[in-house]
Amino acid sequence: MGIEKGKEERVFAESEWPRRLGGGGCMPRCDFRFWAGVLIGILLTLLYTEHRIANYVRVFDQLKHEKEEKGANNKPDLEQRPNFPDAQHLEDDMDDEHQIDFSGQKSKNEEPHLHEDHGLLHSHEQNNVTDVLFDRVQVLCWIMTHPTTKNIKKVTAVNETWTKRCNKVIYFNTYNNLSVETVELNFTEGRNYLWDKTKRVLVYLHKTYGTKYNWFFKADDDTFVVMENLRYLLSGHDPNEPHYIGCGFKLHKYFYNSGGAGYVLSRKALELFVTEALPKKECPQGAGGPEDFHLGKCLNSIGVNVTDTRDLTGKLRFLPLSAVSHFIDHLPSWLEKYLPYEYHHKAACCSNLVVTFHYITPDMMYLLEFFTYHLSIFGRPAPYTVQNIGTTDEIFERIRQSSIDFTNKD
Amino acid sequence: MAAGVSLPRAAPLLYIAIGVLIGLCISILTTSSGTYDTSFSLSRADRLAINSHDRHHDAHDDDSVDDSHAPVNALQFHGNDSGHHHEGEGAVADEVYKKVRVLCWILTGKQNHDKRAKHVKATWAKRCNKLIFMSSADDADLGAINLNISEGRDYLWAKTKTAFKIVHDKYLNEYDWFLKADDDTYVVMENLRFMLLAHSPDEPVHFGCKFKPFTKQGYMSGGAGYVLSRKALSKFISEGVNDPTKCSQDHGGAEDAEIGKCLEKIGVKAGDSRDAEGHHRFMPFVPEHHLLPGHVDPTFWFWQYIYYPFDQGPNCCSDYAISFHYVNSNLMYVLEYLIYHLKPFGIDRSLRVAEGQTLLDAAYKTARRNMGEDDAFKEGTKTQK
Repeated sequence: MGIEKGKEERVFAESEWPRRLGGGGCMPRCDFRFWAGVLIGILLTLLYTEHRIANYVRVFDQLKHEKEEKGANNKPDLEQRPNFPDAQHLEDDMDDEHQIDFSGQKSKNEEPHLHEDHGLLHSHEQNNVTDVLFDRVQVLCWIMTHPTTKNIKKVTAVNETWTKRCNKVIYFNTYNNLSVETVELNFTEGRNYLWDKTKRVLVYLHKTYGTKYNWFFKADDDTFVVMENLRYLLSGHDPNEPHYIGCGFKLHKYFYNSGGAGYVLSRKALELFVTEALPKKECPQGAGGPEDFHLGKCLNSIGVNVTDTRDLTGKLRFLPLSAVSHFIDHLPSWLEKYLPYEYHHKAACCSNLVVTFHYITPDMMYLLEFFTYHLSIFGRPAPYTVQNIGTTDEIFERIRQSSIDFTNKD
Repeated sequence: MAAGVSLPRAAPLLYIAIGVLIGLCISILTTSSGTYDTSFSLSRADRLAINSHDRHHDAHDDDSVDDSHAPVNALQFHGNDSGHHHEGEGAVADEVYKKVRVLCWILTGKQNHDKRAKHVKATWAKRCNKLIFMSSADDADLGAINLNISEGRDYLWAKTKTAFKIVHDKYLNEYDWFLKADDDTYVVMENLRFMLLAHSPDEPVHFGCKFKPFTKQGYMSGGAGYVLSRKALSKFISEGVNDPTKCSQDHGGAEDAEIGKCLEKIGVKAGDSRDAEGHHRFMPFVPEHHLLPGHVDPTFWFWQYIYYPFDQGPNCCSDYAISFHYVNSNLMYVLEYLIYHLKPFGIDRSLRVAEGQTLLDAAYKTARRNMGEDDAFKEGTKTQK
């Protein structure tokens, strides 16, 4: 009897539902069970997908660019163009907790001492060919960065890896207490002032170092550079002629070099930019906008065009993406549109004598440093060098000829 | 009862079901655009720049090596030899190739022929003197043979024994060294030969990344790859494998620990594969794991296992590193590019060959000078020329 009674009560209670939360007409919305159910459902699904998301990554470029593509017409409009030349915004998304402190670490490998007793030469020990290049192709590297705590890691990483191989490196600009050279010019920090900053830096460099260095190389704090390969490329050009060298892009009718992939101005090009191009009306007068594109536009207006920096097999030497991206990720559609040359993604993308990669995090800087300058293959040393005999002039001439032979002939 | 409420008893479940559906829709909508799965470790560094929610997710076990975006076809590096070769530039490596003959057998399974084995063959394994994939299906093009043993971790030891037996019976006298690797191991074969050049294949010795447990002399991590001398393989098959007092007769068990215990019992020494400066040559994880200090928790099992001190950071790894583990197919191609193609102009690390010395003699002497501090047979049983 007790059971029957319970059943009765239950049936009776159920029939009460429509009236329980005020109003029979708003079912099921008004019933808290519904919302509890919805909540549980959402939580369950999110937990499950979160677990899967943890194994996924959003390729930032692709996401942003494909979204922008959806609305755009076929012609890539400047305003809808992805912000890829300036990686500053990426820094905002970088993982803050992943701190690595290399400042106290002194790598055994960094001390140049000949391991004569083991019979093996370590690559950081300069030999004659690399010495000749270092002395003859004088490159001042300037790094586009700004003082934030997140950027300290990046500045430290580039400072401990590739910028050691510049003839001179200046950071525009970073904290004064880091042991790097940094210069404060009178400009406002921020993405909307990058063009203004670039102009000021170039004016400063021309004024202060215009006669001291042959080449002025701009990189970001997330660009990895193989300086020997940069010098090799530059050895085939005359710094007293206007040269504007990097990863060439074409937009509308302008040719410019991608900012993030790094670009070089010869001494003459820098001089002409400051004295002739800057005052022209074609040279954008404002402070903001894509600094790399504006620089190209400005230089184009005085007849300075980008150099084709592909190697003789047609592969790129200045790479707008990271080493990994070029080999693995889908080819971003914007890249195809901007490259004025035929480009083969993945295995045929990148020259053996590559100069730069972009979007390189501090972690990857150290990895690339290891693979480029430390890890060696026993018995297969240097496929790319010249005979190390004769005077410095003779060696340099050999290098210069080799560099000219190595350029793309299209 | 009010009209319209038809299933009162089932209503809570119905609501939950509706809720789940709504939750699913919300989740799908917020994650649908632009998710790409590239969760192998080198891109992890990339991902940090690209808005990742994770860190330290490089694979530490076989199940988390991500194959889902493995290239459909093997990639070819065309035209990267641009005629800039120094005459005789590969001569030392070619001489050593002939002198130190290595048979590589790679443990795989038929489900991995396309996603892994194919890419292993297209990258580093083509540099073996002989390559065999020990698998669960035959494939003549790939060079895979069916071991006819059940799948799964519980049969790994059985597979290892069978594989070594096959290799011993068919090839013992044709090769000098016998390397076992996984289909997610990347090996720099020239550097393996360089290390082995200091030894004779008639020494009972084996090399790899040495772990402490289960043995007195240490055993070699299976995933980082380990290599047996001809003498070691001969002893393993004739004295070890069928003797229950020496080798476990089971099919299960950790194959690397089992072979380590067995080899110790039959008198095969465990060599020191570090170089003369104490840097490791066999790496049980991906490069990032070793090169970045603080990447690995101090409580990680690895620190309890490792036999010799193993630095994290720039001092971890030898310039003549031999192997990395947990490398998926995409990373294989990146490593192939970074190690075999990308070169800084002018940096020349040629072997110094003295007047009147042969290339092989110079290479041998250099290999001897670079032996690990604790290495076996350091006095040399006989000098090689």
